[in-house]
Amino acid sequence: MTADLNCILPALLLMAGAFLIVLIDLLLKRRDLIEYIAYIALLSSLIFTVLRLGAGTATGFQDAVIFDSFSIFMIIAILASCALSLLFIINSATRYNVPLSEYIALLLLGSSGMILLVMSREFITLFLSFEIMSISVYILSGITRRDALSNEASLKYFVIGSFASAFLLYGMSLIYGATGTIYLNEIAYKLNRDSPVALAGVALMLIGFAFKIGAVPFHGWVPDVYEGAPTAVTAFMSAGVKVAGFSVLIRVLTQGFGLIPDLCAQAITIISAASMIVGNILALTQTNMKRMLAYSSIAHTGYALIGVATFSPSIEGLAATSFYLFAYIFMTLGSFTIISYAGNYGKEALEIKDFEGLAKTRPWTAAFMTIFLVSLLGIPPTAGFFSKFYIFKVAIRYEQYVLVAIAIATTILSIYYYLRPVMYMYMRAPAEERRKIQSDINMEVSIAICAVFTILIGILPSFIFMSFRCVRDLF
Amino acid sequence: MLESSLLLLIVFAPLVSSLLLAIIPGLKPSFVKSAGLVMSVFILACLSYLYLTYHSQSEILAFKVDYPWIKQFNIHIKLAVDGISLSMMFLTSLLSLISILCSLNSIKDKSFYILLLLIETGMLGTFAAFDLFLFYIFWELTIIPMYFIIGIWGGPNRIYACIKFIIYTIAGSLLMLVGIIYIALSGNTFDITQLKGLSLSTTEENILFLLFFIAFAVKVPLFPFHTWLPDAHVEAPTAGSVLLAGVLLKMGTYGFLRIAVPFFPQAVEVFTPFIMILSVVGVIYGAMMAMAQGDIKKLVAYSSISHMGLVVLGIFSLNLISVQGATLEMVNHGLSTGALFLLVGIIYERTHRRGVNDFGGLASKMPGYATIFMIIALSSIGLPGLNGFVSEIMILLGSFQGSYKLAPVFACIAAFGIVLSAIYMLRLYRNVFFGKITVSQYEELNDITTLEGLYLLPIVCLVMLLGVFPNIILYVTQKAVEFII
Repeated sequence: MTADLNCILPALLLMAGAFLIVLIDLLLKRRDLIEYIAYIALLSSLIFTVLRLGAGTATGFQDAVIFDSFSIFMIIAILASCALSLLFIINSATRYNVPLSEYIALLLLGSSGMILLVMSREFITLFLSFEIMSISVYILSGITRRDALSNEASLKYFVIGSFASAFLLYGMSLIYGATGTIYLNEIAYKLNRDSPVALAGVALMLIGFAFKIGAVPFHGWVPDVYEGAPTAVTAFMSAGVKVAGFSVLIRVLTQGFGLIPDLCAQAITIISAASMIVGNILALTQTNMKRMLAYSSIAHTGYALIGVATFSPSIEGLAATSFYLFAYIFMTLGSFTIISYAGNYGKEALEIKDFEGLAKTRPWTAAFMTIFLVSLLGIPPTAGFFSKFYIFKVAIRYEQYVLVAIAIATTILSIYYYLRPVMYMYMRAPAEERRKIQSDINMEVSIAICAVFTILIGILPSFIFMSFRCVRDLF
Repeated sequence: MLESSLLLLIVFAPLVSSLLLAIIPGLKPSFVKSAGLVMSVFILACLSYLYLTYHSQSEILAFKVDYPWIKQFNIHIKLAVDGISLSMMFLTSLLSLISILCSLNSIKDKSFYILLLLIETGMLGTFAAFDLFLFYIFWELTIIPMYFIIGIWGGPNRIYACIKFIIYTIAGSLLMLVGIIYIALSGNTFDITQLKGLSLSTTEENILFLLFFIAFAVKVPLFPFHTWLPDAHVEAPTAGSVLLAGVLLKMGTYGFLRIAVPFFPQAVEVFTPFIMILSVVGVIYGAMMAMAQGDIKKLVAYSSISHMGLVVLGIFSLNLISVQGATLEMVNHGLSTGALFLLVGIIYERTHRRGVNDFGGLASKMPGYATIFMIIALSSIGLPGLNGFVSEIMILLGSFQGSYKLAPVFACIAAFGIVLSAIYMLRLYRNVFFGKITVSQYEELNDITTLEGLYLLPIVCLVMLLGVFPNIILYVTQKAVEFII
């Protein structure tokens, strides 16, 4: 019994924290206690996960969940994104007009869903955690109740997301019908490529996952939801949900669909190419910063999928994707945090015009934003460059030349829209007198951490070693 | 191994100092300026020391530095110099120092000097790196600071210029990245010295060569990838133009020498006629466009295209004399074109105009300036006695003897380009300096100030020195060039 619980302890700790926060808010109404509980939950979860680093693989609940090094790596990534999002919201909740305790509780619940998702090994747990994560994020995107845009975003996300979950469930049931089991490792043996039912099931499941990570052609919700949701939620979505979605995709592909790798790889190649093209081209004309970053995240999904597309001959591509995701968290969280932080009079800097002259009024903010944009673009010596380099390396090694060509062409396109905010910040005069209402130390810490990691991962990418190891365990 | 650590220091010191200067709050601009000056003088001094000790080294490749960096990919921090690298690094440090000096009065922001130091690291590192990944990192490192320098402190059309510059350059670099990854995977290492003998299939070689070629051709710039150059040079501030023309262009030709030519000999043979056509077209086209320009800076920019076409011709003629001439021309062109931009900057400071027809009769009012301008202009043309002549004659001589059978034709056409350069340079000189003073307010112009003299003087001296004693450079590069061929 304890072994089972040990397995899901990271998720349990976060859930416990979430419920505790809601209770305390109901009974005691002490804000600092809420913060402490959240920090403690995250920290204990992280410590527990890190302690398991050398301990080998463990399964729990009759093989429903598995705690291998892939899980560990991804859980650390998810916890990092949760922590940074937490820092984001703690002081700015009043600015957003959100109920802080519910927000934090939902954040923790969503993260616990993500953790379970990464660890899940059979369909029911997968679907359960998928929904825990999704529903938390649906609510979070609509949590500013008075904002019409936010409500629209939440509704869109909920409706389209429910469709995607339905696809996922239908796919799972078809596969169950074809193979007679819901455990991924058993499906791997029984999946018969001649059975159209099974193939249909696979396709439907892939659709469900592709929706979650925002891949073309299932990306329609991304720009509207990213733009409408409160920036703090967008940051959490773009980092955590993406990591979780990719992780479950990787795990299902490697441990579940192992017999039909080439078919899956073909599908993913097309999706990857389309995402890169659509994401980069549509970002070119955007003037709303959040929308631009939304399209850019579609493009980055495309780049990361290149690694997955090479998985049929070898696993190195998956290591590259894992590394890419880990590096991507910091870039994207950092840029969204700055969008929220850099506004005039305490508002957010949502349009690109709001970035005008930022270099003169707030030089450090401008410098950090430049670091994040340059990293997203992929210029050394940042994390974004190294992750792209790793993906290209794997792609060239396994002769995915078309994908590489598309990636390079679209990266050249992306130069323009990534550097446009830089231009506005440095090469234009500030429009009016700028004042912050108050300095938000948490946000500043969060931005600084993201920037430091962005550069650090670019210079000393020792995380590769971890991603190698974690992917090896998938087989 | 004192010298190896010195090399490591030289490459990374500007980076560290620029980061420190950026991070520490509350520094006065004058402090940053002095820090920048001290750093570049220090680098120059160290490089001079290395230059002198290079002669006593037994191997061609000296002062090696090798630290494993990313073990899983076999990437090392590997620095080394040979004669070509050393000459280019020396040029880099000299021009960096001069660009700091020339901006002292005009640009007061401390971030400008921080960016200059960053670019210096990028340039020095590119010339010293012997690991392909490291080479790429330093290559890209120069792009963003230059983007900012053009975009923030440049001329009226600077936004267009800096975007054009960065898109062209990054596009080329990304193609090079693909090439680097491919060849590193084939050879299982990123080390330049080990990859040289790699054997590849013909198609592989051709495609890889093309990838590297495009990246370097954009940087050089070789016709038809040159369209970013006039805009970038014209809109950049003086220091930016000096570094852009003086060093960044040479990074392209250095790339040819270090990577493209040695790694893919068969592909070079296949593409040589094509490349020679492009370079000769560049020579003539650059010269003719220069003749038609009304803006002095644009004229100098086009003359750069012309000269660099000559360098590429020399490199791809592939015999000892022409490649030696090409490397010497790299140094010479850096000096003379750098000086030209400095001189234009001086007159622009005073009068805020730089049209070819805007002046007249300056010689009577600014005799010192006129003299220096004359020396530099003649050096650019290639008058015997000054540095330009030696390099140009070596390139022409070598390419005349080239193995490719149409080579003499190309050499003759290129020689014609030299005549053209005389036309546009002397015409420029006459319009600006001789004749009557056209605008009355120019009666009161000051001649060269002490500071300007300070930074022009080294160039003038070197120009004359290299004209008479080119062996200073040639001796050093000879062995390296032999090795390449």
